[in-house]
Amino acid sequence: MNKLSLVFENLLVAWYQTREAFVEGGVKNVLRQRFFWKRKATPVEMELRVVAPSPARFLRDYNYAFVEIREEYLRDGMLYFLPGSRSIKASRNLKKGWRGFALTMHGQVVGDVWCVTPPMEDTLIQHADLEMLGITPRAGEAYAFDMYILPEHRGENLAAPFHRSLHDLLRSEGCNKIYGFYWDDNLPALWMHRIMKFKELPKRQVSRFLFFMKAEDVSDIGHSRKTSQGQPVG
Amino acid sequence: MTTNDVIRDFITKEIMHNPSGALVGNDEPLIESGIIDSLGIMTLLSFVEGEFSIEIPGDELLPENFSSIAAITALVERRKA
Repeated sequence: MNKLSLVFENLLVAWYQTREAFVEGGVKNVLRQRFFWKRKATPVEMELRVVAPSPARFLRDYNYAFVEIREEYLRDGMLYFLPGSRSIKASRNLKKGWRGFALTMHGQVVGDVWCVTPPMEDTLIQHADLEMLGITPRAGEAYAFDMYILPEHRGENLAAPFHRSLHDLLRSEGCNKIYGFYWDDNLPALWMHRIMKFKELPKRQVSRFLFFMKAEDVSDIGHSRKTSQGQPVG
Repeated sequence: MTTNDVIRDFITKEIMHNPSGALVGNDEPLIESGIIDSLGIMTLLSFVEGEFSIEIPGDELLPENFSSIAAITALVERRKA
């Protein structure tokens, strides 16, 4: 991928996200996403060998479909993203070789989640978040990130079945473990991971200024909770 | 009203939007039935902390502590003590 076009797409995504964050929660919300100091993150992992109850029926009963996002679906308008940043992000992520999965209703994307999977059985995955999280995946392990559910579909219990659909697919492809993380101040994300029984790994303390990020291990601290704010995930 | 009654009343009316309040049993599973989802936990936590003047730390935000009205009542009583 052309380096200049990647920089342009990153800036475009950042612009859309900033605008959407402002519409959703004003300046405070924008600042919270772009600048933070010593914010706590909890990396999580789950073995995929154990088969959980299948979410397929739950989703089907409510007319939802689980679809892998492909470049041609975006090009041909077969998948329609509502927030602008998600559509641009989807296109950019696919070019980076990441895999995206959408929860759709009548062709409209209600939610999406992204994943890095090993291209071959004995290869390792790479993603910038992994260093931030202090995770070193082995062969056959995947990393899921950036799950989003449209605000008007939050509170419909979609997040867990959506994530489980991803687990089912990865398991069928031979993946044996999935990693992820949540910010400690994002209560809905914390709740989803705990309901799904993800195993919590040592916490990380992350500081961010625009595109610059610093992370360190803080496994000795407990889980204090300053706020119950966050974006509901499902 | 007891702690149990206050919690039941809130869950029934504000989370389930069922003003009759007759359907929620003390041990009825709230998570499996989807009543306490990621949105429900935010609403419930905000209410419980305000109503009973307690703080529930992240370490206590476990599914087993919110699995039923009885479990939530036990958590609140524990934090009040």
